[in-house]
Amino acid sequence: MPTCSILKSKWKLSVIAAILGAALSHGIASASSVAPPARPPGSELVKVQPGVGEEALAKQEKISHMTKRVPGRAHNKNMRRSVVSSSGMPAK
Amino acid sequence: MQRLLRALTAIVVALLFCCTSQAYAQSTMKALVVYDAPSSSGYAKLGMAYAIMLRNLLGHFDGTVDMIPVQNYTAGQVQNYSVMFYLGSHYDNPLPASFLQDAATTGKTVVWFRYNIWQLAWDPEYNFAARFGLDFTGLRGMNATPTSDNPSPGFFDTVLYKNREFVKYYAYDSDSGRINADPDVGVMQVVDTGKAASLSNVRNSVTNEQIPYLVRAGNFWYFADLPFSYIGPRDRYLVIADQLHDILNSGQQESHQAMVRLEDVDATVSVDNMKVLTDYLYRKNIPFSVAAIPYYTDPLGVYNGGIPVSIPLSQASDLKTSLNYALDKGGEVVQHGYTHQYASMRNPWTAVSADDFEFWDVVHNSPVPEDSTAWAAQRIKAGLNDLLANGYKPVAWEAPHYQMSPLSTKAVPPIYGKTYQRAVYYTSDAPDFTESQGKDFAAGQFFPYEIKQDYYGQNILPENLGNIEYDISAIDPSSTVVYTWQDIYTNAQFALAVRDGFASFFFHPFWLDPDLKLPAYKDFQSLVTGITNLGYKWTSPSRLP
Repeated sequence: MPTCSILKSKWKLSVIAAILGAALSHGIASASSVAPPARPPGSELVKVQPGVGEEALAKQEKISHMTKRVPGRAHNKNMRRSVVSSSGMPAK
Repeated sequence: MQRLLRALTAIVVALLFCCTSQAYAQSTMKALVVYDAPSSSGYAKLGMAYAIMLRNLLGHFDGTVDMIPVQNYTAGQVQNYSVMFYLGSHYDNPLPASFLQDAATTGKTVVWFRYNIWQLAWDPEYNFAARFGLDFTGLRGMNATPTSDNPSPGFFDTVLYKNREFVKYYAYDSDSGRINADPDVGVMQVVDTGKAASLSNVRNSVTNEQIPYLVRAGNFWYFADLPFSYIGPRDRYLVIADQLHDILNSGQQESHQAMVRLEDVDATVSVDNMKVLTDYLYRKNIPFSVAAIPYYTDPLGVYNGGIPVSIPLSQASDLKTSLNYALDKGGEVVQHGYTHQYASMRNPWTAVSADDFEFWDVVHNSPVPEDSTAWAAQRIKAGLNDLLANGYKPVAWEAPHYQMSPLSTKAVPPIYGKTYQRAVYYTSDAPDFTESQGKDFAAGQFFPYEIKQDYYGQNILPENLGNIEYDISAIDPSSTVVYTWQDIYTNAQFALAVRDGFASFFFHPFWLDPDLKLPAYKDFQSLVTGITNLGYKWTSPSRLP
């Protein structure tokens, strides 16, 4: 084999090796051959909510979504009275 | 001469020892958070949401945090960090061999959450059992598929930690067949007590069976679940929050502080109510804060007979009287939005200050049309300038309804060194929640302690207990939520499980309105007394670093 061809082959091999090495280091060619454990019953029905779940708060912790809002007629009445007193304007 | 030499040697040794100890004590965390991000899944970004939440908790500690999808992990990367977390959120997500190899052999701290541990534990190449003294035996979840006849068949839902029972959330919707819960756990047994130990168990509340929840084998830690779903103030989320101190070897001692904030105080506030609450806290020598809304507006006239009304702070005499009174008696001002509502849009209730969202379109679950960091900064500064112009120097920022868009949130840190709140985090700056592959997630998160820097760069002072609510549906059908002072007191008891956990709550002064005939003032006092008797020390935003 001419020297030039050997060099070319070596060059190709080194490129292939580099690509393989990079792939391995990034895990591209590394899917595990281990079979996973069986999933528990009902797994396909599970709906996961990261963080504070709205349902969780409403039903379990009894606080509305981000725990803040308390609407109410009392609030409204308070506002109406205060609007008059603080602004100096009569409510029309 | 010899004595002198000995003395000098002793001094040098002592200095070296001191320096070494100091260096050790001051060593800071460098954390790598690795998460699942499978490309072809509707849950592709769920792992990132969990990673953000963990990253936020790590913001309690000095150091830096990097986050990467597991497929981007490169061989040896763990060696650049003091601790590596892997969030196994996606069942059977293939893990890179380089990652598995490093997780098995590194001397750095590795913390693994739930799924995909079998790729490490069941591959003979990694010699898992012999190395760690642990045996992974499989997954457990629901005891059976729920049905309308048996909606709660049970699962491992009760984490036992520090003599408390942290019960995970569960709800079954029989109409849709949906399970709103996160029941799956990995079963990791200790087989060599010389190498590993179980630090906490989780119990199946139907069968009473217990399995390890958290195990440790030297530098390797394993959590049976992902403690960032359906979190709450009595949830196993507090276990990871506390255990981070051990994982990071923080040396934190038991230390508990409390805070109280008077909420949604605007131009319409009742001076009488504010005086009653202020006087009580002053008598008890308890510092407190007032969440003030600088600019009141009711653009649709919902509470004003259909006539639009706006009240700038300069004209808000009741608000200023209340703030001045509070400031004289240990109160501090927190800026709570600018108007605490958005434009003339019902977002979603009335478009009135204190009712609606300001920096998030909650109707369409999206950022508002003009959303940008500059737009939010302009509003925050407008409110801040109003407060300053009227003689009030706010000590922290609190987002209206605890929710801002990603871009809006980024406007806060350059203006305020402290925020005092919970927060919502998103998996992109332009979140898209539509049901498609790669949809975004939003995660609401509260904190049991101060976060020096969160995902968006905010310093966060905690509010972690919630607030008292009453059912006044007799006069307002929409006001049905009940949350008692005892509920919040119980939350405060659970917060003690975190070694430096706060008891921080807020209270709406309007509950004291005589018309309502509620025991609100009595309940407020009972709660304050209860928290005090639990051993918490009262503090306020300005007193925290």
